[in-house]
Amino acid sequence: MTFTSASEFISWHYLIETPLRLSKYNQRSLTDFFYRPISYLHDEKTRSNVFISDVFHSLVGLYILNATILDADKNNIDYLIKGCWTSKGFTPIRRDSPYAKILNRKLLLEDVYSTYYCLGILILMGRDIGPYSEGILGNFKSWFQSTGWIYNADWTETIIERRLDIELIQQALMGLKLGLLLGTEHRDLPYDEQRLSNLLGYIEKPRYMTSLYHAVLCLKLMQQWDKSKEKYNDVIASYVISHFEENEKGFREYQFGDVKIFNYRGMEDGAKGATAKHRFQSDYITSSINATTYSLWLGIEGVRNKLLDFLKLKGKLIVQFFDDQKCVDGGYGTPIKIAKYTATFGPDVTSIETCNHIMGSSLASIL
Amino acid sequence: MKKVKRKLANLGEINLVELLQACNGSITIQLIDAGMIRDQEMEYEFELVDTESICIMPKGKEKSRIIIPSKIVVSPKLLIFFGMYDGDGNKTGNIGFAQNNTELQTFVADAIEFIFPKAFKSKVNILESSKFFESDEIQHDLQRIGNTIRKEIGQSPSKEEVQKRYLLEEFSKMGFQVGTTEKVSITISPKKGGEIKGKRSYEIIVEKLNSRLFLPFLLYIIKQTIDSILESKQFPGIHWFLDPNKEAFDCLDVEKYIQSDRCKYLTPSGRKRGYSKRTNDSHVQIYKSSPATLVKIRKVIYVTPLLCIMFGIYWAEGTTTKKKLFTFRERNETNLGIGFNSSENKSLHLFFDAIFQIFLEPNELISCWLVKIGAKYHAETNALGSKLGVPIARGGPGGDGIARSAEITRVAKEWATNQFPIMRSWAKYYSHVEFTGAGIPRIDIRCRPTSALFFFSLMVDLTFCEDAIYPFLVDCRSVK
Repeated sequence: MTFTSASEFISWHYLIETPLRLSKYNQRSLTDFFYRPISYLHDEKTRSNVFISDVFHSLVGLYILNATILDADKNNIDYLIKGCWTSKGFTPIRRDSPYAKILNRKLLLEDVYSTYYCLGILILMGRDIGPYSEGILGNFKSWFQSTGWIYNADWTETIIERRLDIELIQQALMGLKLGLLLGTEHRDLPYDEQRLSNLLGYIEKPRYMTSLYHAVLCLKLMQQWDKSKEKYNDVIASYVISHFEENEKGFREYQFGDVKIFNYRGMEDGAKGATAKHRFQSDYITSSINATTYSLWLGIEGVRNKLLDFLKLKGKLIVQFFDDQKCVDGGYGTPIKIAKYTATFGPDVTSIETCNHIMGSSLASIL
Repeated sequence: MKKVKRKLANLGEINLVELLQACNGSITIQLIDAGMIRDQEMEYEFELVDTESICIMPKGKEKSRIIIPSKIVVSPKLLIFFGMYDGDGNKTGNIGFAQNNTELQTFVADAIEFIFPKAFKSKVNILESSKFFESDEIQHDLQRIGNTIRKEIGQSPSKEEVQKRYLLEEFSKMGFQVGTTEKVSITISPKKGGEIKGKRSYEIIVEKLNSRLFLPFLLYIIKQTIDSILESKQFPGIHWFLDPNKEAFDCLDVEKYIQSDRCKYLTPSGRKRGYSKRTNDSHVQIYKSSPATLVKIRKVIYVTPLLCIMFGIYWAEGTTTKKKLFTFRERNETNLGIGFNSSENKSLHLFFDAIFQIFLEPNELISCWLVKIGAKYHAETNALGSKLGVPIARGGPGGDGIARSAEITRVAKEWATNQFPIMRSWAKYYSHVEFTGAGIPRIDIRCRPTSALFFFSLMVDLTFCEDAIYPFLVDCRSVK
């Protein structure tokens, strides 16, 4: 697969046809925000600890803004990418960085997502991915498991039943994209049928909005979406609609009842009632930028029909949701809280959420 | 050094009248436990009965009045109990303690009885998973018990009756004494723990009947005591004889203690071995097989309130299997190591402050620390993966090994050092994330193995074998 411009790659990465609207943003402050991880590459002290994933999402943001990436910055990014190359794929951070030294060696094996992000960065910067293609292709098919899932089994050896949804589906998506970037047709990728069955199984009973979005993206890339969408329209629509919170004007990533009831010390699958409720009474969830953007994408670029009608009905609220989000240091994000802990779990704002804010508010504006 | 053979000295006194007068009988406490903040409030009325006793009752609850000693002597053992209760004691409902180790349960029961003599009767709840009774090894015993009950009642007993009798027989063999036990109840549930056939999920919960209204009072005493130790000062009603953070009357002569039988362990071949040691003016260096693993210990260790509280909290929140702590002197125990698990900054603070009253060099002691995330918080971790655009992959076949995604490893460290400021001082020892257990994200500290034998010997002796430790005590004044 070849791209003639960064924007063509971004449209393919998001599989979005709706034009992105930037007029309501302070583009200077957005540019500064996206540029931050790249600026860390200037400094000898910080350059070794920059992650590939941060740079990829920052670059996506900068190219959405049509910002110019200086040659000096591109050279710094090349330096980062070279340090992550293992001859079979890419690692998430330079392997000679001080931070890498404290990491377990398994965390520094080449993995699906870092390899996809690195190729994505090269494409965004207009670089040739050729020098790396052969090495990746030599190893790439070993990542395709007979179960249909895609991951480097040397990187993570956990049995399927104990893996988390976001891992399996996100790596399936990135593995598929990687295959397409390397010029392989999805049908030629191993275990295509099992993969299709896994993804349709998830769509039938989704648990996380992000994973549902990723699963539908996979089906689109596999050219299976048009065949499947009639059958799954209703289930996707009712899942997404049930995650809308009128008071918050947005959509939630998950519902406690779906993801917080376990077969563990009184937590049984599907159990309802006081005991189960007690287990998450101190936990928090709120509508998020990611879940709301993915809900809009599912309604507008995905299933349409019933879900699109619902989105149109709630259109003003959803536009308001994006307008209400606070811009922090130029970026956007939905902080994660754990029980009554005061520190938020992870960064409050991220590049991926900031890109999603742009995408989500653009989608909301056409409702 | 002049050796004085005597009992461990008391460290202070809690005057309940002063304690209650200082807050006008109105107790407000904020308990931070497993990431939750629980506010508890209770108003008490109180009056002196005589010079030694106080009558106390929740406001307007005449029927609930109890008479208890007005002054509590603070011994090392009482502080160890406070630490234990702070970790594993009931924070809601009745005063109670969950623990499957009978020695610890008895220790706690004695301490509660010491504070509230004859005030409450006990109820014992025994919990077990129904999966345990699927074990092939116990079928013979279950059959025998079934036959006995059949003879007693003249008909076939139900499966549950037989299982309950099995647990009751087992319990009575333990010789477990917890004051006046009014009732022993047994709960066998498929929801209790293990999913594996034959696997035990045994737990004993001892609670004090009708003590619910006095739980805030006990928690207040414990909290005030711990805070006064951490702040190194007297609180109203909490009187220390010396600085509770760093001073004590009793010191342990480390060199002699190390040479004694108290610090010996059994090798796989059944031989008793101790530490090799080198001594200089300020410290003792100990190692087991190789000097490369040596750890420096202070030459004398002060039995401070801080140290005692830490040992109590360790009994509750230490990651070492409790059983090993009672058997490591009699049989070869592998993987004996100091490990501390907590979701509270205060407990972590206390652990670090106290452990360096024993050991000297952080590099020799601390191996690493990590963030553990339980199944209940996988949802939030998934959402974090969505924010960062990275997969949350687990490690090991069962998923409880080192978590993958270097980005998550980095972000978890940032979260941990923000949530638990004490961990900033230990940032360079951070290692990784593990998805394990069910609970709230928490800090797990792991120490190098050389230190374990000494640490556990001292902890077990201070808690359970005061007699055995007397010969190694010296009067701190003679040290100065």
